[in-house]
Amino acid sequence: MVKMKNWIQTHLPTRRRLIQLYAALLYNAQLKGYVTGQIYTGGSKALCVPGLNCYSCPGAVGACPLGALQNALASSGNRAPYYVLGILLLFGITLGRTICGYLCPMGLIQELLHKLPTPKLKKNRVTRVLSYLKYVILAVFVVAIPLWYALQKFPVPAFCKYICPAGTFEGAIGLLANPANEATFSMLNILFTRKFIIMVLIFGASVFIFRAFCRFLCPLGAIYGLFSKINLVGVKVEESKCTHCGLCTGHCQMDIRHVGDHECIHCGGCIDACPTGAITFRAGNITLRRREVEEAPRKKTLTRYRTIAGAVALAVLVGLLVYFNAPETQASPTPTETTAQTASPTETAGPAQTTSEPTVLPETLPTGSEVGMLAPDFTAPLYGGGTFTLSRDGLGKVTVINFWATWCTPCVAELPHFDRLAQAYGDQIQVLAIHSELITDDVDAYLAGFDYSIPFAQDPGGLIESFGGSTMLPQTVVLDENGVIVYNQVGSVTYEVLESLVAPLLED
Amino acid sequence: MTALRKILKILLTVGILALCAALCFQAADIYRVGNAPENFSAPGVRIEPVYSRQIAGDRLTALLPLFWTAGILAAAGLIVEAAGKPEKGRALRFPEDVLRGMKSRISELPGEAQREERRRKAVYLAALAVSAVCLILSLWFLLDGRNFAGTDLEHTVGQLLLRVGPWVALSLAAWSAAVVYGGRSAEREIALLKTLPREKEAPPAKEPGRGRTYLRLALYALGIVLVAAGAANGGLRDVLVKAINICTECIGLG
Ligand code: SF4
Ligand code: SF4
Ligand code: SF4
Repeated sequence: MVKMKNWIQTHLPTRRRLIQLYAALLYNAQLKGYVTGQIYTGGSKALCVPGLNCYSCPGAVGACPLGALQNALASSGNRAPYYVLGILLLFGITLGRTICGYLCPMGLIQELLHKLPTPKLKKNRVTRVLSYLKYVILAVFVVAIPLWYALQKFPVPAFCKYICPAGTFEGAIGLLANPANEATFSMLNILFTRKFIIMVLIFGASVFIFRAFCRFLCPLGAIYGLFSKINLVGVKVEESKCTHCGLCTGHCQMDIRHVGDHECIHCGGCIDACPTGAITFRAGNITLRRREVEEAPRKKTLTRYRTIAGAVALAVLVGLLVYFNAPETQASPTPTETTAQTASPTETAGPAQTTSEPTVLPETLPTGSEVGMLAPDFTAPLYGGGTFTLSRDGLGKVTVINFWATWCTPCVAELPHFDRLAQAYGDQIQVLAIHSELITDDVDAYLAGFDYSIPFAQDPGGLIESFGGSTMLPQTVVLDENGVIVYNQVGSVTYEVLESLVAPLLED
Repeated sequence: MTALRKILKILLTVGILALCAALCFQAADIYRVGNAPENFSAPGVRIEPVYSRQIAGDRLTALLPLFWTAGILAAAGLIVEAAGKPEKGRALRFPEDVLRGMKSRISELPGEAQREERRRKAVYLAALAVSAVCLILSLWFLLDGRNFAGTDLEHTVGQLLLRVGPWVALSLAAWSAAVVYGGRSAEREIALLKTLPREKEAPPAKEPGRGRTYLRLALYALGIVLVAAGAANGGLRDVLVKAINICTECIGLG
């Protein structure tokens, strides 16, 4: 019986593990997202969570601090990235790398993988050196590249794009696993292949090497590590009790030089390893945890506090789960309902850039967003003045519509293809680029930096939804001269693809 | 039991390595097939997309036996581990760390130990010099705006890896060599110090000053001001806009 009790006690998940699971569930509280395959689009996503948790994960209800930082730096040409820097500063001073030990889902995944019983590669001098690689990644992929391209008005969150395994696992696989996102597969190519292989290698390595990604590659851990000397909550060493026996560093699986340094994730694993009880887990001057033997006298009080804290945490979690998973009260608008008729942003409206005699839409076909359907008519305000009305300016011509945004890297990268297409086919076709209704930059000022010849409109609200789009850009729609949709795809297109779509329509 | 544990560990290692290799191979092969000349009807125009649910499903189905084998081995390994006595990992004490502890109790180092320390420092300085040269050569590339002109990111990042990657690797290699030497040197120094009579008292520990508290408070204030300024200048909204749209970079599309 005693044996059994001991076994259960040693095999039960630790408090730290429960907190890790709790945090992972809290960050991804929109559980219905895993069923619908849709990401959460509520206001809580303006808040960054402390750990690395991709905001493209179908369950995510907060923003990833690292993704937010890269995007803020990428648009620092327009506004200084105060918000994200402030948030990271507050997280850093309060918790530092305690976030890594307790509040990061990527850390949890790696620790669980490391539980698999295989031979393990222990830390050594070379891994200590390799632990500095994450600072190089932070400098180059998170700071330098986004800042460089910000100067060219080209947003490039390079770490997300080329490395981040959390994005591939939570975002890509989380979305692709859902049959609702079947169409997304057709957009994958080299970037996904590369990121998928990187993810497999990192997860594979984590089985054999404790927290391989955290120790060598994670720039977020590197940022939090910068606060190791001042973070309020975490393990602390009482110098007067420390005999410098080195048992704590020897016990630790991270590449630390001493307890609480920039590599320490404040997991508290060394607290019981210290023979003199010099290590405690503290929040400022309050001791939250000390050696098991020293806890005995205040066990009852501690248990009471922990039970209360646990109950509160559980209540919060349940409340948030209910809140984020409650059925939508508002029905999503149907495509034909959202036909937009909004005034121009510049009321000194001049004529639309391309006009033709109004054409009557053929009424034999159903209106909708799918190929073979009649495109919904719309009017959208043009940047530079005027409006674009599909039935007036587009019909009678092959029309190419591109939904884009200044904050979307692939959109910005493919705009020149649309411009080239318009120049190559002149009056035979109508090209229109429609900026998302979500505006972060001054689009007029952005466009002034380029000499595009195509008209640019702004989504007056709900237009992209009427073409079947929602939370992913870019999107390209091609209509024949009768306004019938012949192509409607989310994802980047090349000039060759555009030409292959347009040329046959002109031949007909 | 121990033999069974060992066998399971080895089998699971092979299983996991095989699974990782197979997954990487399948992804690379899907990419190869999708970008083969036969899949293009005209330059830049693919007949079939590189990936589809069908293709991914077929490739994963082909790996099912491997998944099952690795899964069963993992389950068996975990059960055997749970049933047996927990393995106690040996504490890894680096001589450098032990030496640091010893030195905190010694007021005067003997001459030979001092020489050993100087040699070690010289090696670290050499590694530092190598790193400094590597840094300069990397900055040569990084600070040249022409290398980042245009929107062909594939080319730029490829060049970055080719032109900066080797310097980073060289720097890490230099430091690895230096710390390996440092470890040996520390062992030698420990042997020397062990012959010394033990000094009883460690020097009194420094009391933490109030400086840290003030710094924290100042940083808290700065953090709050930054967040407020960010909310006012639209930074908060930027985060929201990016987060409520699927990030094509994160998922490997853009
Ligand atoms: S890809 Fe990674 S860094 Fe980027 S937003 Fe997602 S989790 Fe964050
Ligand atoms: S190092 Fe990065 S991935 Fe690891 S726990 Fe910290 S934030 Fe998460
Ligand atoms: S030093 Fe202690 S608290 Fe820090 S990571 Fe190592 S075991 Fe965990």
